[in-house]
Amino acid sequence: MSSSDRIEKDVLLPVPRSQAWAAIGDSAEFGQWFNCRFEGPFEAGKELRATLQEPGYEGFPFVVFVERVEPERHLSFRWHVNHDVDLDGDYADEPTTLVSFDLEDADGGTRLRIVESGFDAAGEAGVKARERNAPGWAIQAERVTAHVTEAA
Amino acid sequence: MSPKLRSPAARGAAGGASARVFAALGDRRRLGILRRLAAEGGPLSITRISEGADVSRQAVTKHLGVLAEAGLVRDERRGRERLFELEPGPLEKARHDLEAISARWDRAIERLRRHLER
Repeated sequence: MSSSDRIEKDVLLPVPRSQAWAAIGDSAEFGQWFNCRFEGPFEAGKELRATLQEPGYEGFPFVVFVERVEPERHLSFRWHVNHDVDLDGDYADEPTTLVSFDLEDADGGTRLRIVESGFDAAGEAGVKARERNAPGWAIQAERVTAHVTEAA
Repeated sequence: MSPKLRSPAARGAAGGASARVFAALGDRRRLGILRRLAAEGGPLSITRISEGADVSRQAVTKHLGVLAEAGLVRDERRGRERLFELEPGPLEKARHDLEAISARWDRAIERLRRHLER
């Protein structure tokens, strides 16, 4: 598993870089092909709520944490690895992966590189989050045991 | 909203067992140990696993602990020795999870292409 930590896609888009950028950097246009709707524009440091527009999943909410925006060149954001994150709760420790889009001029159009990375670190964070929550479960288990033995 | 709905980030990639597998695989030494076990095709003692590797036996033991917790190796006792063997299941699942994410991106890229053609 030489690349258990990242997924890379290299695409040649037959359009000028400014047109490719419009489809990436503009969150409204991004949503048109990605099948989601963002509540605002991509801005560095912003946390954006979004909903899926995929048939069968309409309205399903998620969140992205925008990292860096370099017009005509680069967009990156983080999103959660788990699909059951409670967005009304505290999700500060929930593991994320980093998604980045990089554009370069190329023969015949624009080269787009998409990288999703950090699965290992997300795995580590997920493990740590679970270990932090573990004592809570142990206490619950004790309570159940005490309750059951009392009743016996 | 149906609890069965999955977010775009959903790939079965994390949560529970998969998270431990990804974390376990994120270390070069641990990958080396897995390769060693895969090459052997049978159980090996810590001594044998540590042979030739520029890592202390103590470090190997610690790495094996992480791998065992992720379900990537299983151990058995043979007399006074503990032997370790590769467990292919979790590795396959992790590979499958990443392939699923990769395929999702392929589909998204196809939609991007069609979008740009308009």
